[in-house]
Amino acid sequence: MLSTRYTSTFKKLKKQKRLGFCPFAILGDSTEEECIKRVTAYINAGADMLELGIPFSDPIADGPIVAQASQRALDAGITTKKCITLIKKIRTATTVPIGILCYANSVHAYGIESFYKDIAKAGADSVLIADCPPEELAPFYNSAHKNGIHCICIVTQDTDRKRLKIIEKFATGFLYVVSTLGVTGTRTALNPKIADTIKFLKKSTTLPLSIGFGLSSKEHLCAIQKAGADCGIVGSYLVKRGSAELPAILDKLDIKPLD
Amino acid sequence: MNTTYIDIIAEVKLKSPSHGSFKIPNLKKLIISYEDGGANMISVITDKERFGGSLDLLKKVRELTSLPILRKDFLSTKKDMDETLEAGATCVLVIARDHTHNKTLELTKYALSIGLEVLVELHNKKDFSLINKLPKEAKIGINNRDLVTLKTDSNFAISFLDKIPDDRYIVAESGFSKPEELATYSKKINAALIGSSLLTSSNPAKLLSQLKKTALAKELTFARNQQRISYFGEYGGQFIPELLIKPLQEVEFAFNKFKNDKAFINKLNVLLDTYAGRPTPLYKAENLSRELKFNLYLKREDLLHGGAHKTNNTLGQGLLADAMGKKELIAETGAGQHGVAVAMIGALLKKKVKIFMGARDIERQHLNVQRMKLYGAEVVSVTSGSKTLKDAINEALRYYSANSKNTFYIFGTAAGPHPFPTIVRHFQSIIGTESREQILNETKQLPTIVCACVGGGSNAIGIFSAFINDETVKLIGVEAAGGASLTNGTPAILHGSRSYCLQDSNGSISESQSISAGLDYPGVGPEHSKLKDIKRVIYTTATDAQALYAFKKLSKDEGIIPALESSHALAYVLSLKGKLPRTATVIVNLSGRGDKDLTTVEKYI
Repeated sequence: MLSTRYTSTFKKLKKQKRLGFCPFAILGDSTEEECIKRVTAYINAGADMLELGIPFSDPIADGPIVAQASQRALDAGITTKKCITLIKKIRTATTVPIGILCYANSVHAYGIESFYKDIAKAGADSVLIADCPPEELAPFYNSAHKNGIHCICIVTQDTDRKRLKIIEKFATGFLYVVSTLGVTGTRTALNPKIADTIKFLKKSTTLPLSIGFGLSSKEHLCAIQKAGADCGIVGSYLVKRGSAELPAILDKLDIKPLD
Repeated sequence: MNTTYIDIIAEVKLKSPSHGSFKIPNLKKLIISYEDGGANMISVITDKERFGGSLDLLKKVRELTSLPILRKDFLSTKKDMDETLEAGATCVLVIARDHTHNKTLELTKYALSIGLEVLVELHNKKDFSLINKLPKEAKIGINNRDLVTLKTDSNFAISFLDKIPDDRYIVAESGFSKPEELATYSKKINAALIGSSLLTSSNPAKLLSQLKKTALAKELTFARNQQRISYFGEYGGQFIPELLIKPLQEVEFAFNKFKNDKAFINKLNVLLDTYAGRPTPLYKAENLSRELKFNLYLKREDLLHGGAHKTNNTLGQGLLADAMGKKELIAETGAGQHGVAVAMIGALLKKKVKIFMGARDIERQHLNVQRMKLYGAEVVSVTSGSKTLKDAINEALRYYSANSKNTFYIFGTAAGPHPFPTIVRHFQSIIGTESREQILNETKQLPTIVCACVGGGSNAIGIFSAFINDETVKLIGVEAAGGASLTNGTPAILHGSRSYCLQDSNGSISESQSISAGLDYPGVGPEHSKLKDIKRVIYTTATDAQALYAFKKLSKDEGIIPALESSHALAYVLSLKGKLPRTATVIVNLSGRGDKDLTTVEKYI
């Protein structure tokens, strides 16, 4: 059976009229110890769910901040296997949903079936493969669902009704809504189109909506909350900071529930 | 266990022998309802006599949708297949019981070779004995309608299903009207073709989506992907972020539209002849032939404007970008040859050009950087990762995902995500077509060996493509020993496709190491991976030293300075000295000229 952590988390958020907060970290950045410290800061700041990235040598969906973090982690000797051990450690410290972000070749090289089996055992709830659209998802999807892992799919401002149908064939848990065109990274202004995208999606799907890419301030989070999003994923803005300065930064991102 | 639902092929026909005429007051509305219902393909019956169809009907449907289109008719010649492709279909039906086994195989292979998908329809025991001979790319159709009695019996097909090998894509055809009937096929088929019941429904979209959810598809694996148009065997695909799906679908759509468009072809051919200098000669290297004791021919792509075969592709893709109304061209480059060829076409077509190049390569290939700038292109220095070709591709893909609206990405080699491997092969296949004609004119027979160097593999696939079906011709691909993805690599997913690649046990892509920047790439085009697996092409390697030796040898013995890339293919051919019969004929694709390599070579001599 698929993990139920997302359902209960999004239900709780809805009841509290709160925007979920989902911080992102690259596993093993810059070392395994430093990564644990970082994620601990996230948990202490009240993260509603976590997104953890498995580093890959050629991350085409990532901007310089996350790409450099991945390279740092790889240089420090991280492997997919060690990432899974880290996930297991993180799972002992929290009950919030844990999502994995990775690239297809990491899963392919590990062995698709063993990958999903091992990350399920480690306590993860979902996997989003950044370079795997629905067209290529089938072999991954089958193994994921066998092991109770959600396949998270990406939607964009270009996703129309027809495309959404194709995506919904695979998507469970939540939809990862990319706020803008391009790659991950901090941005000063939020793409104004995001409100329309959220509005369209709320009409067209029952899946919760998590917004990611470029969220870098309290104002950004408030804006997507107002537009009706269920959760905000903050990546590069946090990844570029050391774990010591995180508590203060995270404190500033805390936003109020809607009235 | 969860799995995915079956695909639905939704049919358009004007009448049928069992039903009579169908009322289609608004074709556009019908197609939209098929799309809304989640159809994966549209089938159009073009038979006039019994089904009231025509090729014009298919062309009309083509104008209305970007979905794949299946042409159903009683077809029997290669010309029928050409005509099907030209009309805009992506898949064609071949009915086994209308032909001898050999004829069915011939038609199927031909249709696949011109880029159509094929659905082979099987009816009876005799048809089914064909199954293991059919190429694995062919989809298997099981028809429930008895063509003799014209009755449909949906239980008929099911009795045959167990006899079909597990890795085939199975389509159950006609006879379904109720979800319950389809449900019995759950997990046994991949797709169902539905016609009459949709055409008579008051809400086709709703019925379609209902039907879809009644049956689960057979489990999919990489092996199963070989039936898809984006795949070469189990290699290829479209491993890209969701943001790139729409732009690449638009490129694919435009490519399929314009590759058969007479005005487009004419424009391209004029430029190929008068701007780029085609046809390039097939030159018999007499001096070397005497020494090697066989007949050595060189296909002189080094004489093409720009100094390498790259111009064939950049002209083709450049015109495609123009036809799509794109204002900016971007490209990755390693040695700089592709960058130069794109910058050149950018100047010709008055487009803004941005070339992504690794910082290390910018240092190594200064002359080419200057050429690009002279043509008016901006050269973007890529400082991430290993600062070479693979990182330049990463950066170009990143830029493309933010700017695809106005930008066309001219991929330089027959690799990357679908449709690039197919597009690049298409525009480079002129090398093979010309060579084959030239050698037949000159020697009245096919060559013994055709040899080319392989980095990403565009010049090799270009010359091989014309000879793949000539079973007597040996095809040899030569990789750089330090970047031998096919010889030393394992399947990986890099830059949008699954193919052989140099990687570590963790799946991190390794850096290649070759004296020739054009072969300095850890991946390779997916079609080469398939050709390796089916053993149609033999892949081998040449070291830096062997390539340098060949570089000097051709310069001294024939007065031709070859590119270091092409020198790898020459190095292999030099090793055949005295090993072939005197009558043997060998063609080497001399993919580029070597002036650009002089500084590199100077360091080694």
